[in-house]
Amino acid sequence: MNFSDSYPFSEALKSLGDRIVMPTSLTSAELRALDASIRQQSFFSAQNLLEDYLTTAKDKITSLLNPETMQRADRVTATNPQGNVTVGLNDAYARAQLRDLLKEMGYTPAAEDAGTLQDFFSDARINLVLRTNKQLAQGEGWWVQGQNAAVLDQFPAQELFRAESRVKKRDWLSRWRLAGDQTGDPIGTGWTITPDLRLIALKNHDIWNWIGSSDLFDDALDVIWPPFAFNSGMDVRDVDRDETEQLGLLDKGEAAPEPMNIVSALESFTRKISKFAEEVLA
Amino acid sequence: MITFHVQPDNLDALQQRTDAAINADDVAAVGGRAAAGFLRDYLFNLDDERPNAMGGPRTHFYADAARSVQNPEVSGGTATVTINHLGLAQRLLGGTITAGHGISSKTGLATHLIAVPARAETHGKTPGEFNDLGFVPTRRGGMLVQLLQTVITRGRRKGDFHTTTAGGLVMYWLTPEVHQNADETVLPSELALVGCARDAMENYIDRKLSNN
Repeated sequence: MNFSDSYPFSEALKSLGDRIVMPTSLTSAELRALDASIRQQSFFSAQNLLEDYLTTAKDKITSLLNPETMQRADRVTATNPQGNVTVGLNDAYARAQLRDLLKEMGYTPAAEDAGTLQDFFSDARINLVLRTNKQLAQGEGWWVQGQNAAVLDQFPAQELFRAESRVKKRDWLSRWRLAGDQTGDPIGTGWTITPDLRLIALKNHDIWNWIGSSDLFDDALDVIWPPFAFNSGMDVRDVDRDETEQLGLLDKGEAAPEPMNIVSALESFTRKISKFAEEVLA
Repeated sequence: MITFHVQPDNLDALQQRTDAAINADDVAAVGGRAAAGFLRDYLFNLDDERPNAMGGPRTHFYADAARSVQNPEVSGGTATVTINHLGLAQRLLGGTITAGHGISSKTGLATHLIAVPARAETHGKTPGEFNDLGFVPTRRGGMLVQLLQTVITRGRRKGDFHTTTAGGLVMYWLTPEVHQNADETVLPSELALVGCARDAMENYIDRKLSNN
């Protein structure tokens, strides 16, 4: 273990960097009606037309994703002989700086919105912007790093699980069943629910196109990686080949899922969602 | 940032069993992913086990650290696993944090004192996020106290008023330095981490050898 090497989370930073700031007056519901590919390529916040604010928020999230290590003499101890210290921005300072920017811009919420999620000043709104975008970037980064043939061979499946407690928990078991039904594959074929209610599917299986789809769930983020939905507290963990085979998701020695690149994965996602929308609206 | 290197070359038994048919980078990638997954699970579990000591809204510090785990690159038969997170190394290593290195969120100037949350509602927040705090000096630094506010409400009958005074609570302690004890339990042992990576690499090699 060491503390001096510097390895930025490049895939997460690229995910965020590739997204273009999109000021918009659209509500969350109206944003869901946009093409999924536009949402995937954009950095936005519902009904937020403040381009400078969105650009700054994106910069802050980049800093949150990318702390750096430096050496300081005053931090040398027996357990830290090099005096390494991690420096960067934390959530609280990012929040305070965004709030300062809103003040400079002369933003005031409508009286009926003050303190609610519609109020850009509110903790809830700023946290939503910071945490959702940070977690989306990290989720994509973890997904991209896992698209390696050897890794997929050893860990061909993944489990959707509750990573953070919530006072009000959404019913992810029902969502999983609904998403699984959309794939056309019966339970036990590519996706499953174990007797102790673990939600497991092969990586790159179609179910991951549906569990985060706003065509099925109003709060979904239209992504194939965590957090799947706003403030979900959900994440994924790898499941190894032995367990995948025991669960019957792969036969013994059966080939693992093929690695996907991000472009084809998102194209596939968008195609499915668009087709579904056409069928539903027809 | 905390970094681990997973290298099959260091694991003699594995090295001997890895023949030319198996790519050393693939083996390292499997070990790196296994170690990263193990770290993530460990940190997610800590998040579940360690809510804020003072109560109040959760910041999910350890879950945030778990999501910061990555296995960025494999080259020369070595996989790297890092935790790109602010604060975890401080908890692991401990040490004294002194004022003067950061910028005050309230004044925009170099800090003279460090604000330590005194109440649940200040946990995970900077003093700059409150607009009703007053500074009270003490011998060791100071405290930020919620300003007293008197609210007058009218009663049902004419001329009937009630006054309620709120505030006066100590929200932050201010101190020139804070010492934090090292806590090695914020990470799994390197033995457990290497063991997990080794199991995955052995399993992968076994399967590849039996297929060849």
